[in-house]
Amino acid sequence: MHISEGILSGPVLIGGWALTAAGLGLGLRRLKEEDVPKSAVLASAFFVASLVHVPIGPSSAHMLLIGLTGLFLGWVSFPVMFVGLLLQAILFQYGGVVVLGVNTMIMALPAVLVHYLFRSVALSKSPWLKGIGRFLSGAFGVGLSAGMCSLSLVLTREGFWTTSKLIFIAHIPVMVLEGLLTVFVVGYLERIRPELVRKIGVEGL
Amino acid sequence: MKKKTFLFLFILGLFLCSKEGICHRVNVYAVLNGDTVEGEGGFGKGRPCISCEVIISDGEGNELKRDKTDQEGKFKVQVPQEALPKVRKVILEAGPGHRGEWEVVATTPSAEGAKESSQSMPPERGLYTEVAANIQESSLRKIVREEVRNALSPLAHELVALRESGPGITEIIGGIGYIFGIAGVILYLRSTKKR
Repeated sequence: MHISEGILSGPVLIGGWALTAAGLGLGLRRLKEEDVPKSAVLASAFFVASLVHVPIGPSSAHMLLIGLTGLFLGWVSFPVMFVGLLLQAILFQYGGVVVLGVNTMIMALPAVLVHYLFRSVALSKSPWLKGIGRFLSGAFGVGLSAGMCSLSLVLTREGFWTTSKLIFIAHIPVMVLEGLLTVFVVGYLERIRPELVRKIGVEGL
Repeated sequence: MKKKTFLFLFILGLFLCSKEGICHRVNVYAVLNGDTVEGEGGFGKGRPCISCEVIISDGEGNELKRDKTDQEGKFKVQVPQEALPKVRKVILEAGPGHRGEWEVVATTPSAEGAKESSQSMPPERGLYTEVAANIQESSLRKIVREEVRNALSPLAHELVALRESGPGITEIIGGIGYIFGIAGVILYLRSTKKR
C-alpha cells in the first residue's frame, strides 16, 4: 500500500523516517555477501509486484510480497523494500520520496515480524503446518501492513478513520491471495532449490 | 510439472484479471473557462476516477469550492465570482491515500474583462455592411473562444494521455537494472573490505 505524497502530517513522516533509518541500519548490518543475489531477486519481484493488480469490487489493490520477503530476508527486508519503493517513486511516481520513510516502514516492519513469528512453522515437517505457516505469513504480512497504513493515516488526521477502515477491508482479499501465493512460491522453491528454503530458519538473520 | 504449470497459470491469471486498477498515482487536468473549472481525473490508461472529490484551491491551502467527478471522471465546478481571481490549483482526492494536483490556467478572460470589451466598440457606419455592424465584438470573442477551445481540446487530451501513461517496459527494465547494479556495488564494496 503506497501512500501518496502530501497526505501525511510532519510528525508522522518524521516518525516513519526514524523507524526506517533504524531498520535500514539493522538490515544492512545483517546482510551477508551470499544473500545479496537472493535479496536482489526479491527486490526485483517486490518492485514489479505493484503492477500486478487484484480487482476488488470497484477498485483494486496490488500484490505486496511482504510475507515472502519477510520469510526469506528478515531485517534485510528494510533495505530491499526501501530500494524497491525508491525506484518506484522515481521511475513510476508511485508513492513519493518524502513519504518513502513511512511507506518503507509500513511494508518492512510487518515483513520482519512475519519472519520471527512464522519462520519455524514455515519449515515444520508436517505438510499441513508448513502450508498453514506459509499462508499465515502472506496473510499476516498484508494485514499488518494495511493496519500500519491505516495507523499512519489516522495519526495524521482523525477524519481518516473511515478511509482507514475501507483500506483494511479492501485488503482482505489480498491477504488471502498473498497467503496462497506464499504457499505456492515457497513450496516451488523447496522443490527446485531446497537449500534456499532451509536457510529461512537460520539464526542471526 | 503439474504444480509448476498451475503456479504459472495462477500468476498469469492475476495479471489478466485486472480490469480496473488503482495506479497509486491519480492524474487530474483542469481548465478555467469563464467562471467554471472544467476537467477530468483518472488513473492512467483510460481508467476514470468516478465520484472522486474535486477541490478548487488558491494554492495556499485554502479551499474555494468542493465538488465530485461524474461517472466518466469529468467535472464542471462553478466558482463564485469573489473567488475567481484566486483560483490556482485543482486537487483530486481519489480515496485511500491518493491525490493528484493540477495548476489551473485560464483559457478565457475573466467575466469582468469580457463585459468591458463589449462596451468599448460601437458598430461601424458607412462602407461596412449591416451584417458586419451587427456582429458585436463580444459575440465574436465568444465564437473565437469556443472554436479555440474545441481545437485545443484534443491536444489537451493527448497531453494528459502522455502524462498519464503508466510504467512501461522501459521503466521496469530500468528499475530491475538499478537493483542489480546496487547489488553489484554492495558485493564489490564487501569484497574490497575483506582484502
